[in-house]
Amino acid sequence: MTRLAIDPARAAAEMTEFCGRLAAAAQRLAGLDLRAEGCSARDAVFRIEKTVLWRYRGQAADAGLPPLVICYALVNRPYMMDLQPDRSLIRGLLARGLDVYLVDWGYPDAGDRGLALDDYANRYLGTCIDHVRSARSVAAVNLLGVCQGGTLSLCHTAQHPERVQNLVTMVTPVDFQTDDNLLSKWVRKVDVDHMVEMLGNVPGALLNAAFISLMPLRQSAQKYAGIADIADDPEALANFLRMERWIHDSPDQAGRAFAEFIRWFFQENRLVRGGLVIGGQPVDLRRIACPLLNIYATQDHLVPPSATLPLAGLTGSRDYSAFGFDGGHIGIYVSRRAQELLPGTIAQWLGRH
Amino acid sequence: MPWMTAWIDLQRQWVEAAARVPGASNDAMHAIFADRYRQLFTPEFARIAPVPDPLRASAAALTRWQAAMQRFGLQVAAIANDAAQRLTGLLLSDDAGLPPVTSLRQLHELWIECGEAAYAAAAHGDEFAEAQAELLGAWVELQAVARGARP
Repeated sequence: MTRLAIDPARAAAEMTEFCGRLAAAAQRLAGLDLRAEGCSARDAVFRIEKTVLWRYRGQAADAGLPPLVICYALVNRPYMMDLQPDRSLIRGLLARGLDVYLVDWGYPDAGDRGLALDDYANRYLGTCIDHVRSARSVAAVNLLGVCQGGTLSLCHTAQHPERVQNLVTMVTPVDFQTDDNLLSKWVRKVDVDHMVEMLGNVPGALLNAAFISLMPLRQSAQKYAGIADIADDPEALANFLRMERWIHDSPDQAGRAFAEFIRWFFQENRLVRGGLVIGGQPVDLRRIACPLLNIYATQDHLVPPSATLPLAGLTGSRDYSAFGFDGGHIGIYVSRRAQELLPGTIAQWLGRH
Repeated sequence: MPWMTAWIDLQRQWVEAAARVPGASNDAMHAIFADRYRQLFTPEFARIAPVPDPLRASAAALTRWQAAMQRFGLQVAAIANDAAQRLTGLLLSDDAGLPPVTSLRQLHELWIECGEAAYAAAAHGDEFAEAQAELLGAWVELQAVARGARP
Protein backbone atom coordinates (compact mmCIF):
# COMPACT_ATOMS: atom_id res chain seq x y z
CA MET A 1 0.00 0.00 0.00
CA THR A 2 1.40 3.34 -0.96
CA ARG A 3 0.08 6.84 -1.47
CA LEU A 4 2.57 7.29 -4.25
CA ALA A 5 0.54 7.29 -7.45
CA ILE A 6 2.66 9.19 -9.93
CA ASP A 7 2.28 8.07 -13.48
CA PRO A 8 5.77 7.91 -15.12
CA ALA A 9 4.62 9.59 -18.31
CA ARG A 10 2.96 12.35 -16.36
CA ALA A 11 6.06 12.77 -14.21
CA ALA A 12 8.21 13.16 -17.31
CA ALA A 13 5.86 15.77 -18.70
CA GLU A 14 5.74 17.58 -15.37
CA MET A 15 9.53 17.65 -15.17
CA THR A 16 9.83 18.97 -18.73
CA GLU A 17 7.33 21.71 -18.05
CA PHE A 18 8.95 22.60 -14.73
CA CYS A 19 12.42 22.89 -16.26
CA GLY A 20 11.06 24.99 -19.11
CA ARG A 21 9.35 27.38 -16.72
CA LEU A 22 12.42 27.56 -14.50
CA ALA A 23 14.63 28.40 -17.48
CA ALA A 24 12.18 31.06 -18.65
CA ALA A 25 12.04 32.56 -15.16
CA ALA A 26 15.83 32.59 -14.89
CA GLN A 27 16.10 34.34 -18.25
CA ARG A 28 13.59 37.00 -17.19
CA LEU A 29 15.24 37.48 -13.82
CA ALA A 30 18.60 38.01 -15.52
CA GLY A 31 17.09 40.87 -17.51
CA LEU A 32 15.80 42.76 -14.46
CA ASP A 33 17.68 45.70 -13.01
CA LEU A 34 16.70 46.44 -9.43
CA ARG A 35 19.66 48.30 -8.08
CA ALA A 36 17.76 51.14 -6.40
CA GLU A 37 17.69 51.03 -2.61
CA GLY A 38 14.13 51.91 -1.76
CA CYS A 39 11.54 53.66 -3.85
CA SER A 40 10.51 56.86 -2.08
CA ALA A 41 12.08 60.28 -2.55
CA ARG A 42 14.39 61.17 0.30
CA ASP A 43 17.32 63.38 1.20
CA ALA A 44 20.42 62.69 3.23
CA VAL A 45 20.12 65.37 5.92
CA PHE A 46 22.91 64.34 8.24
CA ARG A 47 25.95 62.09 8.24
CA ILE A 48 28.22 60.83 10.95
CA GLU A 49 30.99 58.57 9.70
CA LYS A 50 29.21 55.84 7.70
CA THR A 51 25.81 56.46 9.23
CA VAL A 52 23.39 58.48 7.13
CA LEU A 53 20.17 60.04 8.35
CA TRP A 54 17.57 60.13 5.59
CA ARG A 55 14.50 62.32 5.60
CA TYR A 56 11.67 61.23 3.34
CA ARG A 57 9.82 63.80 1.34
CA GLY A 58 6.27 64.31 2.51
CA GLN A 59 3.42 62.91 0.47
CA ALA A 60 0.44 64.24 2.41
CA ALA A 61 -0.68 67.03 4.67
CA ASP A 62 1.41 67.18 7.83
CA ALA A 63 -0.27 65.27 10.63
CA GLY A 64 1.34 67.62 13.12
CA LEU A 65 3.08 64.85 15.03
CA PRO A 66 6.67 64.86 16.24
CA PRO A 67 9.07 63.53 13.60
CA LEU A 68 9.36 59.78 13.47
CA VAL A 69 12.90 58.36 13.49
CA ILE A 70 13.22 54.78 12.27
CA CYS A 71 16.11 52.82 13.74
CA TYR A 72 16.73 49.69 11.72
CA ALA A 73 18.79 46.61 12.55
CA LEU A 74 22.50 46.37 11.92
CA VAL A 75 22.26 42.99 10.24
CA ASN A 76 20.34 43.91 7.10
CA ARG A 77 19.77 46.95 4.96
CA PRO A 78 16.90 49.25 5.87
CA TYR A 79 15.39 49.55 2.39
CA MET A 80 13.16 46.66 3.37
CA MET A 81 11.03 49.42 4.90
CA ASP A 82 10.60 50.98 1.46
CA LEU A 83 11.05 48.05 -0.88
CA GLN A 84 8.68 49.04 -3.67
CA PRO A 85 5.77 51.46 -4.03
CA ASP A 86 3.08 48.98 -3.07
CA ARG A 87 5.18 47.39 -0.32
CA SER A 88 6.53 50.23 1.71
CA LEU A 89 5.83 50.84 5.36
CA ILE A 90 7.52 54.21 4.94
CA ARG A 91 5.16 55.21 2.13
CA GLY A 92 2.24 54.20 4.27
CA LEU A 93 3.49 56.42 7.08
CA LEU A 94 4.16 59.32 4.70
CA ALA A 95 0.67 58.98 3.27
CA ARG A 96 -0.65 59.55 6.77
CA GLY A 97 1.22 62.80 7.12
CA LEU A 98 4.13 61.62 9.22
CA ASP A 99 7.55 63.25 8.98
CA VAL A 100 9.77 60.20 8.54
CA TYR A 101 13.49 59.88 9.13
CA LEU A 102 15.55 56.72 8.74
CA VAL A 103 18.91 55.88 10.33
CA ASP A 104 21.03 53.99 7.81
CA TRP A 105 24.13 52.44 9.39
CA GLY A 106 25.88 51.83 6.08
CA TYR A 107 28.38 49.07 5.44
CA PRO A 108 31.08 48.72 8.13
CA ASP A 109 34.55 47.96 6.84
CA ALA A 110 37.80 46.80 8.41
CA GLY A 111 38.37 50.20 9.98
CA ASP A 112 35.14 49.81 11.97
CA ARG A 113 36.00 46.59 13.78
CA GLY A 114 36.53 48.49 17.01
CA LEU A 115 33.12 50.17 16.99
CA ALA A 116 31.24 49.31 20.14
CA LEU A 117 27.54 48.90 20.76
CA ASP A 118 27.77 52.27 22.48
CA ASP A 119 28.73 53.83 19.16
CA TYR A 120 25.57 52.53 17.54
CA ALA A 121 23.07 52.78 20.39
CA ASN A 122 24.23 56.15 21.62
CA ARG A 123 26.72 58.01 19.49
CA TYR A 124 25.21 57.40 16.05
CA LEU A 125 21.57 57.04 17.01
CA GLY A 126 21.83 59.77 19.61
CA THR A 127 23.46 62.21 17.23
CA CYS A 128 20.85 61.50 14.58
CA ILE A 129 18.03 62.04 17.06
CA ASP A 130 19.65 65.24 18.28
CA HIS A 131 19.91 66.46 14.71
CA VAL A 132 16.19 65.88 14.19
CA ARG A 133 15.31 67.53 17.50
CA SER A 134 17.35 70.54 16.54
CA ALA A 135 16.27 70.74 12.90
CA ARG A 136 12.59 70.30 13.71
CA SER A 137 12.69 72.31 16.94
CA VAL A 138 11.19 69.55 19.04
CA ALA A 139 12.19 68.40 22.48
CA ALA A 140 11.70 64.75 21.67
CA VAL A 141 11.05 62.53 18.68
CA ASN A 142 8.91 59.50 18.08
CA LEU A 143 11.19 56.51 17.71
CA LEU A 144 10.41 53.36 15.73
CA GLY A 145 12.91 50.57 16.34
CA VAL A 146 12.85 47.59 14.02
CA CYS A 147 14.13 44.13 14.98
CA GLN A 148 17.64 44.54 16.41
CA GLY A 149 17.12 48.27 15.88
CA GLY A 150 14.25 47.98 18.34
CA THR A 151 16.60 46.55 20.93
CA LEU A 152 18.99 49.43 20.32
CA SER A 153 16.06 51.84 20.56
CA LEU A 154 15.03 50.38 23.91
CA CYS A 155 18.57 50.82 25.20
CA HIS A 156 18.75 54.37 23.89
CA THR A 157 15.38 55.33 25.33
CA ALA A 158 16.28 53.82 28.69
CA GLN A 159 19.46 55.86 28.79
CA HIS A 160 18.01 59.04 27.29
CA PRO A 161 14.29 59.07 28.07
CA GLU A 162 14.06 62.81 27.49
CA ARG A 163 14.78 62.38 23.78
CA VAL A 164 11.87 60.06 23.01
CA GLN A 165 8.22 61.07 23.20
CA ASN A 166 6.75 57.77 22.03
CA LEU A 167 8.46 54.50 21.34
CA VAL A 168 7.32 51.90 18.83
CA THR A 169 9.15 48.59 18.71
CA MET A 170 8.61 46.22 15.84
CA VAL A 171 9.58 42.52 15.85
CA THR A 172 12.03 43.40 18.58
CA PRO A 173 13.80 40.77 20.67
CA VAL A 174 13.82 41.47 24.39
CA ASP A 175 14.04 38.08 26.09
CA PHE A 176 16.75 36.34 24.10
CA GLN A 177 16.52 32.97 25.79
CA THR A 178 13.03 31.64 25.29
CA ASP A 179 12.55 27.96 24.49
CA ASP A 180 11.27 28.38 20.95
CA ASN A 181 14.06 30.73 19.86
CA LEU A 182 16.23 28.50 17.69
CA LEU A 183 18.66 31.21 16.70
CA SER A 184 19.29 31.95 20.35
CA LYS A 185 19.95 28.28 21.14
CA TRP A 186 22.61 28.20 18.46
CA VAL A 187 24.20 31.54 19.24
CA ARG A 188 24.56 30.77 22.92
CA LYS A 189 27.10 28.06 22.07
CA VAL A 190 29.26 30.23 19.85
CA ASP A 191 32.65 31.49 21.03
CA VAL A 192 32.02 34.97 19.72
CA ASP A 193 35.16 36.52 21.17
CA HIS A 194 37.32 33.99 19.34
CA MET A 195 35.35 34.63 16.20
CA VAL A 196 35.86 38.36 16.31
CA GLU A 197 39.48 38.01 17.35
CA MET A 198 40.12 35.84 14.30
CA LEU A 199 37.93 37.57 11.73
CA GLY A 200 37.79 41.20 12.81
CA ASN A 201 34.43 42.08 11.36
CA VAL A 202 31.90 39.29 11.02
CA PRO A 203 30.96 38.62 7.39
CA GLY A 204 27.37 39.40 6.57
CA ALA A 205 27.24 36.30 4.40
CA LEU A 206 27.95 34.20 7.48
CA LEU A 207 24.99 35.66 9.32
CA ASN A 208 22.86 35.21 6.26
CA ALA A 209 23.79 31.55 6.10
CA ALA A 210 22.75 31.20 9.73
CA PHE A 211 19.37 32.84 9.10
CA ILE A 212 18.72 30.62 6.10
CA SER A 213 19.72 27.49 7.97
CA LEU A 214 16.97 28.10 10.52
CA MET A 215 14.63 26.61 7.91
CA PRO A 216 17.03 25.31 5.31
CA LEU A 217 14.66 23.54 2.97
CA ARG A 218 11.92 26.13 2.95
CA GLN A 219 14.44 28.88 2.36
CA SER A 220 16.26 27.14 -0.44
CA ALA A 221 14.70 24.20 -2.27
CA GLN A 222 11.12 25.26 -1.75
CA LYS A 223 11.67 28.95 -2.39
CA TYR A 224 13.61 28.48 -5.60
CA ALA A 225 11.30 25.79 -6.95
CA GLY A 226 8.56 28.35 -6.52
CA ILE A 227 10.15 30.55 -9.18
CA ALA A 228 8.67 28.25 -11.79
CA ASP A 229 5.19 29.19 -10.59
CA ILE A 230 5.74 32.87 -11.29
CA ALA A 231 7.67 32.54 -14.54
CA ASP A 232 4.88 34.26 -16.48
CA ASP A 233 4.38 37.06 -14.02
CA PRO A 234 6.96 39.85 -14.48
CA GLU A 235 5.76 41.75 -11.42
CA ALA A 236 5.99 38.70 -9.18
CA LEU A 237 9.48 37.97 -10.55
CA ALA A 238 10.54 41.53 -9.83
CA ASN A 239 9.16 41.23 -6.29
CA PHE A 240 11.02 37.97 -5.85
CA LEU A 241 14.30 39.45 -7.04
CA ARG A 242 13.94 42.55 -4.88
CA MET A 243 13.45 40.31 -1.88
CA GLU A 244 16.37 38.07 -2.80
CA ARG A 245 18.59 41.07 -3.26
CA TRP A 246 17.63 42.39 0.15
CA ILE A 247 18.10 39.02 1.84
CA HIS A 248 21.62 38.67 0.48
CA ASP A 249 22.57 42.30 0.95
CA SER A 250 23.93 41.69 4.44
CA PRO A 251 26.50 44.18 5.70
CA ASP A 252 29.49 42.86 7.58
CA GLN A 253 29.16 43.45 11.29
CA ALA A 254 31.61 45.61 13.21
CA GLY A 255 33.45 43.01 15.29
CA ARG A 256 33.36 44.52 18.74
CA ALA A 257 29.74 45.63 18.56
CA PHE A 258 28.74 42.22 17.26
CA ALA A 259 30.56 40.43 20.07
CA GLU A 260 28.98 42.71 22.66
CA PHE A 261 25.51 42.18 21.23
CA ILE A 262 25.87 38.41 21.14
CA ARG A 263 27.38 38.14 24.59
CA TRP A 264 25.26 40.65 26.46
CA PHE A 265 21.92 39.94 24.83
CA PHE A 266 21.91 36.38 23.49
CA GLN A 267 24.29 34.69 25.89
CA GLU A 268 23.72 36.66 29.08
CA ASN A 269 20.19 37.96 28.41
CA ARG A 270 21.01 41.14 30.28
CA LEU A 271 18.04 43.10 29.02
CA VAL A 272 15.84 40.77 31.05
CA ARG A 273 18.18 39.67 33.82
CA GLY A 274 19.70 43.10 34.36
CA GLY A 275 23.31 44.16 34.45
CA LEU A 276 23.42 45.66 30.98
CA VAL A 277 25.85 48.55 30.76
CA ILE A 278 26.46 50.41 27.53
CA GLY A 279 29.00 53.20 27.27
CA GLY A 280 29.61 52.98 31.00
CA GLN A 281 25.97 53.73 31.80
CA PRO A 282 23.47 51.15 33.03
CA VAL A 283 20.54 50.28 30.81
CA ASP A 284 17.46 49.98 32.98
CA LEU A 285 14.28 49.46 30.98
CA ARG A 286 12.25 50.73 33.94
CA ARG A 287 13.46 54.20 33.01
CA ILE A 288 11.35 54.03 29.86
CA ALA A 289 8.26 55.94 30.92
CA CYS A 290 6.95 57.08 27.55
CA PRO A 291 4.03 55.40 25.77
CA LEU A 292 5.16 52.22 24.09
CA LEU A 293 3.64 50.23 21.24
CA ASN A 294 5.15 46.79 20.73
CA ILE A 295 4.37 45.29 17.32
CA TYR A 296 5.19 41.63 16.80
CA ALA A 297 4.54 38.93 14.22
CA THR A 298 2.68 35.88 15.43
CA GLN A 299 4.51 33.53 13.03
CA ASP A 300 7.95 35.07 13.48
CA HIS A 301 10.67 32.39 13.43
CA LEU A 302 13.50 34.87 14.03
CA VAL A 303 11.95 36.87 16.85
CA PRO A 304 9.16 34.67 18.19
CA PRO A 305 6.40 36.37 20.17
CA SER A 306 7.83 34.80 23.31
CA ALA A 307 10.99 36.86 22.77
CA THR A 308 9.26 40.19 22.46
CA LEU A 309 6.13 40.05 24.63
CA PRO A 310 8.00 40.05 27.98
CA LEU A 311 8.68 43.72 27.27
CA ALA A 312 5.28 44.40 28.82
CA GLY A 313 6.56 43.81 32.32
CA LEU A 314 10.01 45.28 31.99
CA THR A 315 9.55 48.96 31.30
CA GLY A 316 8.30 51.78 33.47
CA SER A 317 5.72 52.80 30.87
CA ARG A 318 2.14 53.04 32.10
CA ASP A 319 0.94 53.16 28.53
CA TYR A 320 2.09 49.92 26.97
CA SER A 321 0.21 48.14 24.25
CA ALA A 322 1.05 45.25 21.98
CA PHE A 323 -0.15 44.58 18.46
CA GLY A 324 0.14 41.09 17.02
CA PHE A 325 0.37 40.90 13.25
CA ASP A 326 -0.67 37.55 11.82
CA GLY A 327 2.42 36.83 9.74
CA GLY A 328 6.15 36.25 9.79
CA HIS A 329 9.28 38.30 10.30
CA ILE A 330 9.48 39.34 6.65
CA GLY A 331 5.77 39.46 5.90
CA ILE A 332 5.35 42.16 8.50
CA TYR A 333 7.27 44.51 6.22
CA VAL A 334 6.14 43.50 2.77
CA SER A 335 2.90 41.55 2.77
CA ARG A 336 -0.19 43.24 1.39
CA ARG A 337 -1.97 42.84 4.71
CA ALA A 338 0.92 44.55 6.47
CA GLN A 339 0.56 47.53 4.12
CA GLU A 340 -3.12 47.73 4.97
CA LEU A 341 -2.69 47.33 8.72
CA LEU A 342 0.61 48.60 10.04
CA PRO A 343 1.03 52.18 8.82
CA GLY A 344 -2.49 52.97 9.99
CA THR A 345 -1.97 51.25 13.32
CA ILE A 346 1.26 53.14 13.96
CA ALA A 347 -0.04 56.50 12.77
CA GLN A 348 -3.26 56.22 14.75
CA TRP A 349 -1.43 55.16 17.88
CA LEU A 350 1.03 58.04 17.55
CA GLY A 351 -1.87 60.41 16.87
CA ARG A 352 -3.42 59.43 20.17
CA HIS A 353 -0.29 60.21 22.17
CA MET B 1 74.79 21.06 13.74
CA PRO B 2 71.02 20.84 13.71
CA TRP B 3 70.84 17.23 14.90
CA MET B 4 73.13 17.97 17.82
CA THR B 5 71.09 21.00 18.80
CA ALA B 6 68.03 18.83 18.72
CA TRP B 7 69.63 16.20 20.96
CA ILE B 8 70.84 18.80 23.40
CA ASP B 9 67.39 20.30 23.47
CA LEU B 10 65.91 16.87 24.16
CA GLN B 11 68.31 16.38 27.07
CA ARG B 12 67.41 19.77 28.44
CA GLN B 13 63.74 18.89 28.21
CA TRP B 14 64.42 15.54 29.95
CA VAL B 15 66.15 17.28 32.81
CA GLU B 16 63.37 19.85 33.13
CA ALA B 17 60.82 17.07 33.15
CA ALA B 18 62.81 14.94 35.59
CA ALA B 19 63.00 17.88 37.96
CA ARG B 20 59.21 17.66 38.29
CA VAL B 21 59.31 13.96 39.20
CA PRO B 22 60.09 14.14 42.93
CA GLY B 23 56.94 16.08 43.77
CA ALA B 24 54.74 14.45 41.19
CA SER B 25 51.96 11.97 41.74
CA ASN B 26 52.32 8.47 40.33
CA ASP B 27 50.17 9.35 37.34
CA ALA B 28 52.08 12.54 36.65
CA MET B 29 55.39 10.72 36.98
CA HIS B 30 54.15 8.10 34.54
CA ALA B 31 53.13 10.81 32.11
CA ILE B 32 56.48 12.56 32.33
CA PHE B 33 58.45 9.37 31.66
CA ALA B 34 56.10 8.22 28.94
CA ASP B 35 56.37 11.55 27.20
CA ARG B 36 60.16 11.35 27.18
CA TYR B 37 59.99 7.79 25.84
CA ARG B 38 57.68 8.92 23.09
CA GLN B 39 60.19 11.54 22.02
CA LEU B 40 63.03 9.06 21.90
CA PHE B 41 60.96 6.47 20.05
CA THR B 42 60.28 9.08 17.38
CA PRO B 43 62.52 8.76 14.30
CA GLU B 44 65.32 11.22 14.29
CA PHE B 45 64.23 13.03 11.14
CA ALA B 46 60.98 13.94 12.80
CA ARG B 47 62.78 15.58 15.67
CA ILE B 48 65.45 17.32 13.65
CA ALA B 49 63.04 18.72 11.08
CA PRO B 50 60.01 19.69 13.12
CA VAL B 51 56.94 20.89 11.31
CA PRO B 52 57.27 24.62 10.70
CA ASP B 53 54.95 26.72 12.86
CA PRO B 54 52.73 27.99 10.05
CA LEU B 55 52.24 24.47 8.77
CA ARG B 56 51.62 23.18 12.28
CA ALA B 57 48.94 25.83 12.75
CA SER B 58 47.41 24.97 9.40
CA ALA B 59 47.41 21.30 10.22
CA ALA B 60 45.87 21.92 13.62
CA ALA B 61 43.18 24.08 12.06
CA LEU B 62 42.52 21.49 9.40
CA THR B 63 42.35 18.70 11.94
CA ARG B 64 39.90 20.68 14.03
CA TRP B 65 37.83 21.37 10.94
CA GLN B 66 37.76 17.72 9.95
CA ALA B 67 36.73 16.65 13.43
CA ALA B 68 34.05 19.33 13.51
CA MET B 69 32.78 18.27 10.09
CA GLN B 70 32.62 14.70 11.26
CA ARG B 71 30.69 15.64 14.39
CA PHE B 72 28.28 17.88 12.51
CA GLY B 73 28.03 15.33 9.73
CA LEU B 74 26.73 12.79 12.21
CA GLN B 75 23.96 15.22 13.10
CA VAL B 76 23.14 15.86 9.48
CA ALA B 77 23.10 12.15 8.67
CA ALA B 78 20.76 11.45 11.57
CA ILE B 79 18.41 14.24 10.50
CA ALA B 80 18.44 13.05 6.89
CA ASN B 81 17.65 9.53 8.06
CA ASP B 82 14.83 10.75 10.27
CA ALA B 83 13.45 12.89 7.45
CA ALA B 84 13.53 10.00 5.01
CA GLN B 85 11.78 7.78 7.55
CA ARG B 86 9.08 10.36 8.04
CA LEU B 87 8.60 10.69 4.30
CA THR B 88 8.51 6.97 3.55
CA GLY B 89 6.24 6.52 6.55
CA LEU B 90 3.81 9.03 5.08
CA LEU B 91 4.02 7.54 1.61
CA LEU B 92 3.46 4.02 2.88
CA SER B 93 0.77 4.99 5.35
CA ASP B 94 -2.39 2.90 5.49
CA ASP B 95 -4.38 5.92 6.53
CA ALA B 96 -7.20 6.05 4.00
CA GLY B 97 -7.80 9.69 4.89
CA LEU B 98 -4.52 10.79 3.35
CA PRO B 99 -4.78 11.79 -0.31
CA PRO B 100 -2.61 10.05 -2.92
CA VAL B 101 0.52 11.79 -4.17
CA THR B 102 0.00 12.13 -7.89
CA SER B 103 2.65 14.64 -8.97
CA LEU B 104 6.33 15.30 -8.51
CA ARG B 105 5.44 18.69 -7.09
CA GLN B 106 3.31 17.13 -4.37
CA LEU B 107 6.13 14.74 -3.61
CA HIS B 108 8.56 17.65 -3.42
CA GLU B 109 6.30 19.49 -0.98
CA LEU B 110 6.08 16.41 1.24
CA TRP B 111 9.84 16.00 1.02
CA ILE B 112 10.28 19.59 2.23
CA GLU B 113 7.71 19.18 4.98
CA CYS B 114 9.31 16.03 6.36
CA GLY B 115 12.79 17.48 6.06
CA GLU B 116 11.90 20.61 7.97
CA ALA B 117 10.10 18.62 10.65
CA ALA B 118 13.09 16.36 11.19
CA TYR B 119 15.48 19.28 11.12
CA ALA B 120 13.47 21.30 13.63
CA ALA B 121 13.32 18.32 15.98
CA ALA B 122 17.11 18.01 16.00
CA ALA B 123 18.17 21.62 15.58
CA HIS B 124 16.69 22.60 18.94
CA GLY B 125 18.87 20.08 20.72
CA ASP B 126 22.10 20.83 22.58
CA GLU B 127 24.24 18.45 20.57
CA PHE B 128 23.25 20.07 17.29
CA ALA B 129 23.96 23.55 18.64
CA GLU B 130 27.30 22.47 20.07
CA ALA B 131 28.35 20.65 16.92
CA GLN B 132 27.38 23.61 14.80
CA ALA B 133 29.18 26.07 17.07
CA GLU B 134 32.31 23.94 16.93
CA LEU B 135 32.03 23.79 13.14
CA LEU B 136 31.78 27.56 13.06
CA GLY B 137 34.75 27.93 15.40
CA ALA B 138 36.79 25.56 13.25
CA TRP B 139 35.79 27.43 10.10
CA VAL B 140 36.79 30.72 11.69
CA GLU B 141 40.16 29.29 12.67
CA LEU B 142 40.72 27.95 9.18
CA GLN B 143 39.87 31.33 7.66
CA ALA B 144 42.29 33.03 10.02
CA VAL B 145 45.10 30.64 9.11
CA ALA B 146 44.37 31.03 5.41
CA ARG B 147 44.57 34.81 5.73
CA GLY B 148 47.72 34.60 7.80
CA ALA B 149 45.99 36.16 10.77
CA ARG B 150 47.15 33.29 12.97
CA PRO B 151 50.65 31.86 12.30
